[in-house]
Amino acid sequence: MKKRSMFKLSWRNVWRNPWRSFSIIAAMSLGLLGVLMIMAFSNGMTLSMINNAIDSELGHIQIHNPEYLQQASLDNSLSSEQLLSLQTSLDSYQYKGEQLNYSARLSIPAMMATANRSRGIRIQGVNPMMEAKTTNIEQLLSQGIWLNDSQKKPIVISERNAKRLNARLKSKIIVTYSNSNAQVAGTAFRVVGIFQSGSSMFDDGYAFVLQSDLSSAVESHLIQEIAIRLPPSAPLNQFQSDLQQHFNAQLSIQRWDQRQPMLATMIQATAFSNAIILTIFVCAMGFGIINVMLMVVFERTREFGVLLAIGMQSRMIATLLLLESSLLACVSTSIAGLLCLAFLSYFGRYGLDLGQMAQGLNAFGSNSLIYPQLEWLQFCYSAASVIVVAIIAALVPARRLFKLAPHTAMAERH
Amino acid sequence: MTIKIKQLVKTYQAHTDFPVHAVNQVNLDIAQGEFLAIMGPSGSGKTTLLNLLGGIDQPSSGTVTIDGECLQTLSDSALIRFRRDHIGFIFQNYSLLPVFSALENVQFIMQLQGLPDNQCAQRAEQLLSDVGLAAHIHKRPAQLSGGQQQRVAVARALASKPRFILADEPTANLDATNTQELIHIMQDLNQREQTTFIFSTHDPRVITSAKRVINFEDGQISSDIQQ
Ligand SMILES: Nc1ncnc2c1ncn2[C@@H]1O[C@H](COP(=O)(O)OP(=O)(O)O)[C@@H](O)[C@H]1O
Ligand SMILES: [Mg+2]
Repeated sequence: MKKRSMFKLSWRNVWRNPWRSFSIIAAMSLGLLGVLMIMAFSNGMTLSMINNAIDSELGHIQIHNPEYLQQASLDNSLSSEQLLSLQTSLDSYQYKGEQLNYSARLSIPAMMATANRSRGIRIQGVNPMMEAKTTNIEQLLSQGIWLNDSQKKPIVISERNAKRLNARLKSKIIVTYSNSNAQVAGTAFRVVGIFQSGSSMFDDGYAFVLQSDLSSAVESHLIQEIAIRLPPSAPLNQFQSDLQQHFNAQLSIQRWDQRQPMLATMIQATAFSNAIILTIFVCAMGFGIINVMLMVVFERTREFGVLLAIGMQSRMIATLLLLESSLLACVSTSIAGLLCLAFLSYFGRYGLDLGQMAQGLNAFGSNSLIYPQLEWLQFCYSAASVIVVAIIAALVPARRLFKLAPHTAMAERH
Repeated sequence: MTIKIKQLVKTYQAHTDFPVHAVNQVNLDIAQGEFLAIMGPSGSGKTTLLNLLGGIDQPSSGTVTIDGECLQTLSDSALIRFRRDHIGFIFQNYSLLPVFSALENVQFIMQLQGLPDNQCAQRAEQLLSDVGLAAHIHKRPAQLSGGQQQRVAVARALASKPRFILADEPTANLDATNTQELIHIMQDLNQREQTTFIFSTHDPRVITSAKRVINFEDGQISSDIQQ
């Protein structure tokens, strides 16, 4: 028998009980939509976390003296030769006509204090131009302005730290650190800007000053950290391994996800929880399908008896049933897909503001305005698993057809 | 075309204290072109006999042989194929597919046989106009009267060019006029095309039109009359 007529028959059978089909389709498509939306939101959250980390702090690649990662002190700086050679190779990099941006930072642990309060932080001595091109710190300012060379000992701190230290714009802040002679020393800075990122960890941890100020304070001109931002879609792994080859193992050259393994873990955890949610949904749906298809077999036993009698093979009738089940799944996934597309095109553009949960989300390094995102691949495997499970679930009732004898089936009173 | 039934027995509840011998030691030969009515009260075993004849049910013992092919030796799927290609069925309660139009119902069996689509459509239309339904080919069963549905069933039974047609009480649900019409159509086909019809009934009005009448009682043939 032609596939087209089988298809026609099963399609019409799906609609012969419109209410039942409608309700199972509604259940399946709303369920799937829910799963897809959860996926999209957790993708959005993870991406927001990653982008925040890359944009405000890490860049794509970070370079350190390997020792520095064990102990962040002036002793473990990049040597001037290394820095020079790095600068030449970074300056010559091009991808599709675009150059990369990097910021060389004097970065050491320090203590920040006002008249009556203090906080431990990492102080970043930066070149304001280069830092602003590498990270988005300048855009994160909520008060005041970004560092520039004409200011006198300026410092930029976060809102959270400002509140804790009871500091405002123009407040004086004493930063203490151990200098290159391993002696504790202090310098007074004046607040010129206050920033707020989406990540409370970043906000808590960093303050920015001019590199020239910091290096004369600690009496060292060395650099501890280089953060690199590549042009959009430039191949990251390639770049990393080229650099690694060039500096064979004298330098630690880490991708953002190596520098903060928590981010990589977060991506995996998101994928894992997405998979679990999908599995639970698909299983529940499978039992629903079994139930519906058993009902179909029960109701149409007489008709199946007639089909057997006039010469349709049982395996073909079983195929019909599987087709009907997969059609239900296909219609449901299409509806879910369309609804999802509609939701995503709205929220993907305007974002979903989870303002009330801002604190919790920021603790995870995510913004409270979330742009849900779904990859095509994620939609495809979700849809495919719905259809596959619908077919597998229909196998249970379909097996009954093979035990059906035409004369007893036709004697049924349904 | 010949059908030979030998020592046919169908016993229900065989291993209980009250076995039902629905068909009991029946011997019967049917030839090409017959118009055979099986008469008998309700419960006499007519349906069981026709089911055995059509290979829808298997006997407790005995054989049904159609043109030398013994139905009892065929596998399940071979038997289904045999029914598809060689036997036409008309059931008491119409038994059309509700989601298909009259035309599609008739085409369906030819599609099962694997005939090309245009051939199916042509033949199905021809058959439906033969049974007087040319104007109704696109209607679904629910939009047709009982008599019309049964005529679609006749067209469907003929579609596969079967060797014979089995009809179990085809007029049981029809009024007098529709009964007469259906019998006329069957008679006509029998005379023009030499189509063999075997049908059961307990309607005396139908009996008069049969060429051969077999009286069935308690699973046995009590009389076999050529009219
Ligand atoms: N599946 C069955 N199980 C048990 N008894 C049956 C079954 N089918 C038919 N019978 C019995 O067999 C006898 C003949 O039934 P049937 O062939 O349907 O007669 P008819 O078609 O002449 O009314 C009846 O007594 C009926 O009760
Ligand atoms: Mg009967």
